[in-house]
Amino acid sequence: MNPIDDLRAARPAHLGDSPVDEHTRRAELAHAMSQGAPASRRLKISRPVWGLSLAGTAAAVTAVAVLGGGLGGGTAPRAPSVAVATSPVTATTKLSAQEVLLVAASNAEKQPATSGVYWHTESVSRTLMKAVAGYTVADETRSRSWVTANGVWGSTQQLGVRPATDADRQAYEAAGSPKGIEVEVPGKGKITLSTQDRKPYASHLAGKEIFWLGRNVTMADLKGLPEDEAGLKKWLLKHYAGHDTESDRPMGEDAWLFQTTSGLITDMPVSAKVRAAAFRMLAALPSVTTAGEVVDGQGRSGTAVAIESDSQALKGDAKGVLQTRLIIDETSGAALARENVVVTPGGFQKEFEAGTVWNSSWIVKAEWTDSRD
Amino acid sequence: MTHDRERFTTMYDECRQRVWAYVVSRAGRQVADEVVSETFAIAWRKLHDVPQHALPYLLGIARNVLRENIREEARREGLAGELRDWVAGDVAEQVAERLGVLKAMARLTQDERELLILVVWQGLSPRAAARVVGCSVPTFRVRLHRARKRLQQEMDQPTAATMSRFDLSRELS
Repeated sequence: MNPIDDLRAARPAHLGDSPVDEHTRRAELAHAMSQGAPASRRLKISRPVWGLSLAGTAAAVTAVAVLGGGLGGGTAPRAPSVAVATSPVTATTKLSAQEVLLVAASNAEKQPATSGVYWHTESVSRTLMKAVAGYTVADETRSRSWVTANGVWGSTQQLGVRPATDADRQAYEAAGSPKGIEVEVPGKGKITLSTQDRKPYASHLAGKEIFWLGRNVTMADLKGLPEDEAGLKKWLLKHYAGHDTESDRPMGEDAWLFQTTSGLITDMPVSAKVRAAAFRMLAALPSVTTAGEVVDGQGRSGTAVAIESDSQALKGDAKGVLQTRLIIDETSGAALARENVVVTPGGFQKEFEAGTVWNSSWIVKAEWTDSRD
Repeated sequence: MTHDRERFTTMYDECRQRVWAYVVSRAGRQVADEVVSETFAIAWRKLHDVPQHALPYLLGIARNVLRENIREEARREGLAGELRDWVAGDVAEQVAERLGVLKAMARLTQDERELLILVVWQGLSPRAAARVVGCSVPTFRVRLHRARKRLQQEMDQPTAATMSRFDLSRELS
């Protein structure tokens, strides 16, 4: 039995949702409202970032966990839609996903081994939102991390929110180029986001379990990963129980493997052989398809391999379908980005057309270095 | 102003008991009303900054009030009493498993317990909960995962080291 379910059921009765007694209620409300009028509004700094954050650390999979409602729901993976929308496709599909991944695998294997004091990754993630004024804005975060066997140092910077396209910029300027842009967050109401970059904030997490592969793993765990696809799959599936690791949300086996392995391929310092095994393992998953050649948000071209999932829906909303894709440069076996593309609008993406790249995380750096700057 | 009052009252009715439960789980019932009262007084002054989904914001304020206004000793005493209540409770109504989980919870560190309470009992998303405790979401996820594992461990086979973590170990064993 899941300890979380046990814990939920064990909440002491007095900590439950019983109403407050009327005497206390009146006294507390009166006390609060006797403090003068509420102060005038200041620009809010809180923002709803669902982005793929801190690549390279245990958080590699945050986004999928946060936004993918019922990834490959149930134990059977979701069948790919007939018409998969892929807006920035520059060429029609030439190779199957399997072929692309196998090419990537053999090229990954040829990469020379490197080493250093810190495993360093840098990524930029971006999520689209609808401004109340109607145009679309992009909310971006730059994350950097330096990992050793005993901990991870991170630096995260929220970049100012900005209009997503030229047309959006025109609409924004027509609205007077406000310093704060009001956006509507599904289920949370309206908030105002600043167009100014914020200061980076640093974090440090001490501990050996610093990566996430369906569970927390250590640098030593990564070194010990099986170098063949069957062994790797078995290793990963050891902790698969039909649901997401941090919740009881049902998740199909393929989706689960795609999620955990994407993190391994994009962010983690694994050997060339393990990386190749990861590509080969993905190639063998029946519900992984190719979305063809794409150009990512940093102008780099690569091939996308993808899996579809139901999107997270709010109460009363219809679920949509999201495509989660991994963009790889198969000639080097390197991962360039992870993206979520709207296939069928719904849930958090109901305002966006099919084909919109709703959320991306671009891997800018993933390398060993000797200094932390 | 009328609008402010209405919004504040609605927010109070929706969140008051949740804030109270959070404070109780951190410092016991003795100080809870005082902390809750101060939390909402601050929330009223900052009403225009309070997001629509107010609970995480309110819990964040309560956390600060607790740290700044209540002596550590009082917090610790209050908490010890509270944890004792969790595992004593109404004997007739205590099912074995339920008791096992609560005992395990009592043996966790304050920080471990807080994460689990925010997510499981308060129903916060990892993002909202990370904001309450003031760490990044990635860090929160790792800590939550660890806390969950520790809880399981304590449920399966409590260790001597953690059994003596609290003065109340005798009552718990």
